[in-house]
This record gives sequence, structure tokens and C-alpha cells, in this order.
Amino acid sequence: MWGLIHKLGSPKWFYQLSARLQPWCWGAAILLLVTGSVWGLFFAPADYQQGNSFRIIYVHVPAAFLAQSVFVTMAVAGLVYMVWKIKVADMAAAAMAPLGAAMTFVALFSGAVWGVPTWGTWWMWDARLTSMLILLFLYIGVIALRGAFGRRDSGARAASVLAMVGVINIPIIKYSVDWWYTLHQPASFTLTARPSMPLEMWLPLLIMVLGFYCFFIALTLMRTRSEILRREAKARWVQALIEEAR
Amino acid sequence: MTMASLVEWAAMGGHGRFVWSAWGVTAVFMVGLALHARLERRQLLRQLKRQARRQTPSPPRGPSHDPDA
Repeated sequence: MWGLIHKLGSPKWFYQLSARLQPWCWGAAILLLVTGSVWGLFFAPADYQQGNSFRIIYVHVPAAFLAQSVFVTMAVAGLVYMVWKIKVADMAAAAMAPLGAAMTFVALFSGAVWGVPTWGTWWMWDARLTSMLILLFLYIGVIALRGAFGRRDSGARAASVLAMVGVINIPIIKYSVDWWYTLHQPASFTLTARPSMPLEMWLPLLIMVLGFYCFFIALTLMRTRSEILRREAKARWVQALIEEAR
Repeated sequence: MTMASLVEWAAMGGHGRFVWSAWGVTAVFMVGLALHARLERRQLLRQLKRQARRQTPSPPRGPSHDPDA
């Protein structure tokens, strides 16, 4: 177990492993996203109450899932970096932060657009909406804090701490719809309970959610690899790699 | 599929502008992030190669301008 952690923590080993994993992750992401989009936009039946506006669910729910999952992953990576000084964990955290921020924005935007025909308003200071807005600010804070220090490890430590503290917002987002039920409906998509919608609406949503997660993994692997090259540019194995590519 | 049915589908029963703006923004962000990651990697590799060339000049390729050659 310890051996595995330290092996995974070695930038060189991670770089080589991720090179093999990456094409599969991109392939799965593209396949799932294309299938889910075509299914969701063309073949899924319109909702009997919301009509076609319900098709926003296929981008809104996966984006909201990623927004939260990326933050939790970032907090765990921050913890791993702080406790075991594993640099790859910090590189991955830096690589995934912009995706998390983007997905939070996408969830807020698609939700606002969906709110107009469904709720008659694009915004209300509902607990779910507000806690997601706070998540967006937390992401911006983590990204800005990392860049605000002259020394890289000071920025990395500050960003890790903010991610670990900010993760308290995630259960608040999750339970906000049950604790303060004002506007946003409770979760309609879970893997633990029976689907609350017909299968021909639920399956494309499942495919989209999986596609978004594969995209997250693929993008994070790719950007972590760049970050490894950038930070380890002086390492002998990186120089040998560059020499080979010349 | 006829043109008319395609237009009707795109209108989404009057909800077209909501559906397409939500999907559009999502697509722009995801494609943008993927392209940015690719550009980032290419630029970095180019920069690292340039640095390596500066440190250890590789043997000249093609016709040489070295007067001793």
C-alpha cells in the first residue's frame, strides 16, 4: 500500500501510466458524450409538464455533479499533498481547478436558463442556488490564491487549505434542497434509488453523467502531464524525453 | 428527415432558445477546455525543446555553414 502510494506519487511513474490511460479516457468521453447528446436531444421523449425544456437536464445535472466532485477531489489532493508531500497530488489539483470552476458556472447558467420557462424566474436566493454560487467563488479563490504567492509551494499550501476548508460547502449544497426547500427541487437522479423518471429519459442522463466524468479524468490526466513537464523540466528523465522528441 | 422536421425539432416546441443556449454554453466550455489543454501541451513541448537546443546544440542538419566542414 505504501509502496503503491509512493510509486503513484513519483512524477515519472505517473507520467508513464497516464500516457497509457489517457487515450482510453478521451475515447470513452467522446463516445459517451456523443451518444448521450444524440439520445437526449433527438430520442428522449419530451416531458409531459415541461415539454422540451427538460432536455437541459442532460447538461445541467452532469455539470453540477462534476462541479462538486472536482472540488472534493481537489480537497483530497490537497490533503494528500499536505500530509505526505506528494507533489503530483498538488499538480493534479492545480490542473483540475479551472474545469471545476467552468462546470460550476455551466450548472448555474443552465439552471438559470431552465428556470425561466419552468419557475418563471432565472434567479432566486434559494439555498441550492446560493450555495452553488459560493462554490464558484471558492473555485475562483483557490485559483487566485495559488497564483498570489511568489513561492510555488506557498501558493500550493494556501490553495490546499482553502480547498480543504471549502469542502464543507459540499454537504451544504447536497442537503440544501432538503433542509431549506424553497425553489430548487430535491435530487431526481441518484444511483442508489430507483429512477424517478422513465427509463428512456434516465438512460441518456446516466450516459451523459458518465461521459462528463470520463472527460474530467481525461482532461485532468492531460493537464497534470503538462504540469509535470513544466515543474520537472530539470529532471534527467524529462530532458531525455525532450531529447528523444527532437 | 426533412428540412421542416429538422426546423421543428430545433424549435423544441418554443423552448429552443433555452435548450440551445444551455447546451451551447456547455459545449463551448468543454471544447474550449480540451483545446486549451492541447495548446498548453504543445506550447510547453516547443518551449522545452527550444531550451534543450540552447543548452546542447544538436549537430547541424543539411548543408553546413561551418567553415571547417
